[in-house]
Amino acid sequence: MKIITGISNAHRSEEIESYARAGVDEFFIGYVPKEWSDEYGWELSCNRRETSNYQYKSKEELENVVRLIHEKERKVFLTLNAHDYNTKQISLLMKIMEGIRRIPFDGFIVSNLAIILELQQRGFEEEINVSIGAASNNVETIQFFHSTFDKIGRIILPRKLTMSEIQKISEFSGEKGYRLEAFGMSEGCYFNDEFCFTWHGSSNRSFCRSPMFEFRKAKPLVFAENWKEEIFQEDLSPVYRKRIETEQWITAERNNYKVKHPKPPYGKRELNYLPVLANIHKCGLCTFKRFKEWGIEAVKLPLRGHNYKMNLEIVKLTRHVIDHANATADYCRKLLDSPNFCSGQNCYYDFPYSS
Amino acid sequence: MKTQFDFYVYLSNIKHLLNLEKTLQIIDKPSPELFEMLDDDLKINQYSLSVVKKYFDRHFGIDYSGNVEGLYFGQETCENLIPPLKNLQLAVEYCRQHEYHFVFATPYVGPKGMDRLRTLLSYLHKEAPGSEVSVNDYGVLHLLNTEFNNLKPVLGRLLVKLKRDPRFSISGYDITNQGIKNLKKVESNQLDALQGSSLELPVYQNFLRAKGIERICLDTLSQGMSKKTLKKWGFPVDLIWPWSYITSGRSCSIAAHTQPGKEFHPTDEPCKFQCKKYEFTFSSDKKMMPALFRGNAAWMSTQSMYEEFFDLGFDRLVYEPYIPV
Repeated sequence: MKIITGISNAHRSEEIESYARAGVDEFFIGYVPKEWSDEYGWELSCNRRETSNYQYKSKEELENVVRLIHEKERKVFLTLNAHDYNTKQISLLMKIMEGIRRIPFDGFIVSNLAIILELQQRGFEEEINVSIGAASNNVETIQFFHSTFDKIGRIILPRKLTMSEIQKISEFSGEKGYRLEAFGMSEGCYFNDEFCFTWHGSSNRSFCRSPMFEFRKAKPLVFAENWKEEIFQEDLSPVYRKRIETEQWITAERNNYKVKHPKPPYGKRELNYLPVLANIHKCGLCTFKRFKEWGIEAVKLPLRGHNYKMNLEIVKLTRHVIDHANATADYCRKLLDSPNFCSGQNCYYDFPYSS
Repeated sequence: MKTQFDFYVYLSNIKHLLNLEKTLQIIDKPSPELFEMLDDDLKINQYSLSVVKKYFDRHFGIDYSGNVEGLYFGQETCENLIPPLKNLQLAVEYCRQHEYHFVFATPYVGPKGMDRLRTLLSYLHKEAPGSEVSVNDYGVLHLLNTEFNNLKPVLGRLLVKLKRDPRFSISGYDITNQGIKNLKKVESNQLDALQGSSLELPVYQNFLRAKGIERICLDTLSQGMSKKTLKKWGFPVDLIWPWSYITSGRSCSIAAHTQPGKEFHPTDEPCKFQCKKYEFTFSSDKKMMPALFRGNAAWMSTQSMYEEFFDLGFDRLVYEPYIPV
């Protein structure tokens, strides 16, 4: 099983070489040249990363990194996976693409159907990996892409699929010869990326990380369908009672859950390695054995923008587990050596707890 | 007098649908103390109904509640809330009796959800051919194209992927100035792009037509929309108002709230339907559209934007008396 990871122009050549040596087979990159950022800034990026430090910014940088990656006999994909673009943006993007046409990318990562149509109409021959933005949550969507477009490469599975759903989709894809990619470690989204239309970018915190979402309050719903009559009843005590009962129910449910799922002890590594891993959101290590068995072609490590040394550790760990003959969930938990870390809250796919 | 758009009502609760008259009723204003007890959803029900009433009176001289042309039934964000077949049958029968046009709203789904939808679409295919189905999943569109081709797909609002965020409505938003000289130009271009979509592209329009799409759903967007842009889309548009979708997750955070320490509740674990018991409310020091988290999704009320949107030249007003979950 291959590893694909993201890099940006913050990476030096030797760092990219280290990734390759540590087991990365493919890289993906974003390209936002000045002609785009001068028009649309960074918030409305031409790919799904809406900050400046996740990108390559000049043709020269792009040529150099593609050459380097190919010298290391690895592949490189260009991300063109923003959710939506208007006509002017598409025209500008296609102009940019014509300008870098001779750079030998191995493929593009795309989510918007109009972009796929435009690229094909303009004769781009590169294969298209279907981004999570296209929401391939079921086999019918995968059939939709393969029956509609030529040169579909891999379908990238959305993060919020569960293991049993991934298994079902993989079995179908295996029979048809369709190729799949799944998220492995890091950058777990709070919501379904493909249906999250909120504003990102460094000047405005993402909705899921904003104080308004962080400090959300649970409010009981006390009125029934007949509220237009209920509200005029003389005795409103049933409504007040329902509010109190619901609040009590929420508290009881939360307490019961805590009793049934006590916090396991912290391991030694919790003090150095694991908090960083948890900080960059989610770990799917113990799913790789299953992914391999199900024929998933690649795991994605969306590490663009994170610390190089940390990224390298994650790549090594991922490669070790993928190449291990029998990396069971128990084996992976021993590797991480922290029952607390592995108690559910850091899992990409809520596995093995869901099984 | 002919209205400039058809009036549709969108409901996810079968009881609301079967009591449509009550659902569309404006009640006497309760006392301030009672009014405060109401959920925002219910307050907005009354406010938005008053807006609709006034608009219909003023512009068309007719009563809104007697001029419903069709019903949307279903919901678009959670496969656990897909209605049972019995409710779909009731909704279709109700529409038949009242000569309302019927549109079935479907969510994005995993494999199990797709199986459930297949059963419901099969019923519509046999018993209500010609019904419209609002699709929010390319897999569902594929299913309609290949197995149920006497149903008409409508491109759902979740497949019209313009940004929508309550936070850039009133207070505005900040722009990163890193390496950017002309911030004003960027700001203006961003607004233009935020109101635009790849639907403007003829190649995409032709593609959608080839897939049987003849109509498109649009949320009332907090960043506004221009008549000119809407015209470029080349499809009749169903404008959904006043509850606009923001974001959602198959791993439900409402369900996870009763499981502290675990941020998500995966879709294929048993659901206790906590979303029927409580919602999340938000507060912010920013001036923004009122927003709520109901079901597995966040919603914002664009009730105040009716004047800006109602005259845009869309084909149907799809009125949501309640958040459709």
